[in-house]
Amino acid sequence: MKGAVEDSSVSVNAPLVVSETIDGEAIIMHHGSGLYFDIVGSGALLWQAIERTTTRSALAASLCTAYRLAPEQAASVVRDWLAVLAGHDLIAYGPASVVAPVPVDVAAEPFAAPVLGVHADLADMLLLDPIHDVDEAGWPMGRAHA
Amino acid sequence: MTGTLGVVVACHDQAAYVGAAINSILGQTRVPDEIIVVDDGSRDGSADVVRGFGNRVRLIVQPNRGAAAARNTGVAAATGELLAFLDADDLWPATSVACRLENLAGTGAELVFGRVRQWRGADDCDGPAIPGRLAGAMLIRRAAFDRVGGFDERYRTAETIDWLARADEAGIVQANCDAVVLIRRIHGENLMIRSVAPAADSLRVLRSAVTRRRARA
Repeated sequence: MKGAVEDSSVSVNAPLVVSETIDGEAIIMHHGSGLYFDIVGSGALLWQAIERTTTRSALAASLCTAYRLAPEQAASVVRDWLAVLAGHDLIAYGPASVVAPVPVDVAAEPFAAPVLGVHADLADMLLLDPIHDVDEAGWPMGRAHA
Repeated sequence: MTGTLGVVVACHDQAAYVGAAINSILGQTRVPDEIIVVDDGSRDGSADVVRGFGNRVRLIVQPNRGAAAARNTGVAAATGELLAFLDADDLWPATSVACRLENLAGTGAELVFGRVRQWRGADDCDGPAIPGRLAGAMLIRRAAFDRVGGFDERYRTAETIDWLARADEAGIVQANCDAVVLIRRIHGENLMIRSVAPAADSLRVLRSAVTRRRARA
């Protein structure tokens, strides 16, 4: 497959982590920690690829295309960025796979290193959402008459 | 702490539970001055259950528009100087109101929360009592609520997270009491709601919070 690369897959740490990217801004919620995150710019570009499952090499290739980075710099940026995301338990690594780089446009803005915005102000409420501790048996039904 | 207290109960298809919710309000050591149940388009006879309480409860029936809209309808009808909320499938322990009123008076806060125990419908309800900024655990001065504004009716879920984020941004003075003030019932219908739009509203709420924060920076 032309343009394909082979290395470990990188994906969102579902179901603990959910996210949505709109207009170049990713919002990420971690049901286990109650933290939420925002990412723009190059970080959001990389996160969008991770949402579809990607590889370290494919991520670096995306940076090279979007920001005209040298391959060595792109690889370094990806390595550091994945370490940040892994530090917050946002991503999961899987078996080596072959992934075609996602087509990306040349970015209008100059490259800036990815920054993860971390927010803890609503953690207590997000942790109360019972979806985070559902087990395989599903939810027990309530009594017919309380 | 003096002042009249109105409680708003939002109800959608909770005929099996709403009677217990109302009884838990009527059983308070300090009974609220007005109890308003907003039936939000129920199809299961919830309104009939509420009517069974006679003039002790004011019933408002509206087409289904979601919990945010139902609570807003109730708030608009409430006349008290203080507001509290209870979802129709949840319960208040008998001292829920009294504990929160005492805390409000003692701290001078505008809003007080208590602890929440989640209950999966088994006979025992002995899970951990965790701090819970949920609508059902909140008691707030009406003037403070009005400063924040109503619940955002665009959200079918996560409307309370959005409201609390706006309350934080509005500088509402908040306090917490150690008592359990809400029994939150976890049951099949909760899951059904979440399966329809998993996390989508929560992510929209969080995006709005980030956008507002960025605009202020």
